[in-house]
Amino acid sequence: MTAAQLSQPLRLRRAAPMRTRARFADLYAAEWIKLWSLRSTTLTLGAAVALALYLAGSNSAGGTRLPTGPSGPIDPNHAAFDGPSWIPSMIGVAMIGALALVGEHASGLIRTTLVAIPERRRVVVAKAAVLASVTAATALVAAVGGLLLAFATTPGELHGRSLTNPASLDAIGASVAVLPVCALTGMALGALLRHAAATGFAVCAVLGFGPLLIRPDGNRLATDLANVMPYYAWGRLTSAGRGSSGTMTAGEACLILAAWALASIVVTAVVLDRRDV
Amino acid sequence: MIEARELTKRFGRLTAVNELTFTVRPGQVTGFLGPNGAGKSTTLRMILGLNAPTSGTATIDGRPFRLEGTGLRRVGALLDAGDVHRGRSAQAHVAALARSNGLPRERVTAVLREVGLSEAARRRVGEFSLGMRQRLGLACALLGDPPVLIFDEPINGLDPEGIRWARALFRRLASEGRTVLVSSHMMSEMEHTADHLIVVGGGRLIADEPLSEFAARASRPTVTVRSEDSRRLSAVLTAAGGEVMQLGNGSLTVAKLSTSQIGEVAFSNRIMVYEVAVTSGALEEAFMELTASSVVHRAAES
Repeated sequence: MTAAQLSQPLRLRRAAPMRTRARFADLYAAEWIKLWSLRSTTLTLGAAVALALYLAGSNSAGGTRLPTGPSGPIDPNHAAFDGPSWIPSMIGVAMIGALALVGEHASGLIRTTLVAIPERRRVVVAKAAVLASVTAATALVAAVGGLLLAFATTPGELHGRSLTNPASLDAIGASVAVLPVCALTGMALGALLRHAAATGFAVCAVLGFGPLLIRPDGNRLATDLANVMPYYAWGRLTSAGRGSSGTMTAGEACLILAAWALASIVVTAVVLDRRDV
Repeated sequence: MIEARELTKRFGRLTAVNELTFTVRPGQVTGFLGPNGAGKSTTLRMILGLNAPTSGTATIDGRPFRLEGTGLRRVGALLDAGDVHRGRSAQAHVAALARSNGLPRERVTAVLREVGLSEAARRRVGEFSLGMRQRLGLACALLGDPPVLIFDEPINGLDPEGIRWARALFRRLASEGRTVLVSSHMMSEMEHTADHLIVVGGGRLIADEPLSEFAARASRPTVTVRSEDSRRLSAVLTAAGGEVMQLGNGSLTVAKLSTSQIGEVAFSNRIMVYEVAVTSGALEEAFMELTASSVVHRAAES
């Protein structure tokens, strides 16, 4: 701020790149910095993992709510991938996705971001890629950790206490898919609503009390509605056909999850592209 | 170079910006002036591709800004000091921006040092004062060493030392051949900073001219002239369209003529002039008169 400082020219070296188009790796890295420089990210993801592990452990050890397998003891897959136990994690990562968009709009940061990268759709794709990869890693930790914990704490003799048995692999894969889907859904809701409280309510409605209120065991309409929810698609895959949501095939469940992810990215991109910020 | 051609923005029935046409040239500081609600910020947002114009075009160096893949090497902008996430550190905020445009990491340290925020770099922006946030916004604008700079009310919240620093910065950027557009609702701010003024009121263009010409628009006397022959000078200035009043002691006050016009008239009539000075407050006066009439005009129209 002194005269001496002012006299120093603030020129970029000529070697610095003059890009006509941002490299995707740079956009990804920028969104990565933005995500991890907020304390709430670490807290929420940490809480999601801790809760998933705790519930897996308590489900297998206590087994109060869970059906017992045909042979008597609790199936560790059920303990680690008990549906309602995963809802907090789903909502948690969806909130991170939602805040990635709502936070930008509410603070006005979106204008700074879009002056730096005027090509809005690529900003959305980079944001989605960061959210998806971070939440997939979170899901992997929660799923594998939960399963190991369930193996360790399930009472009685059990065959196939291995992560590589097909049912466990399916359940891990489905979980690694569902948390990114939830995060992207949150992002799309954030883009549509832009308001923190409204988005929070919408996230809880779609991922929380939606699946609890509309179940695939009622009438035809309720079953169809439930089947298109990420929660039941995930449930179909984790229970590998033994669960309650047996009204769709595993392929359909995968398609539903993919459709949610894709639709969320498209909705966010289109909404942001058309809106005055 | 920034160009607006018949730029128009309507929000429902409200016309915020009404067929604005102007050009902002490099190498000088251009002041973008207007009272609150005159459409300044909306215009700047349209130039930066943040708001879509209802009709008309805005370009930066010949291209609509929305078509650019990366922005920071082309334009540096400070629209609102609040356009930052309060939960992030200044360092993280600038680092993310730099990284998105593929700029080297040293730039982050360099611009934060330039604006005097080196020591506060690791603090969260939520703890910053408004002045510090303005400095952070200026740092981000400087990040890509851009040829075009756009600042919306950048002086707000700066302390007197900061204001002097910012003015010197704008002048320096212009002297390096860059296009510098600075908006304000206060004429007095521009008096010391701008070479050229674009004045808007009620979304319309009111003036697009050098600062000195603008000052001459006030109906009250705006220039004081001291000369060897005030009587003859008075006559020729009146003939040239000025409104002249004798003050005695060889001084005149002149309205409706700019300092340079007065100089020309005196020179071509071979009258020695000792002093030509813009009366302080003249710019403010001209600004108030012009924008007041724009408000009346708008009310009469609707």
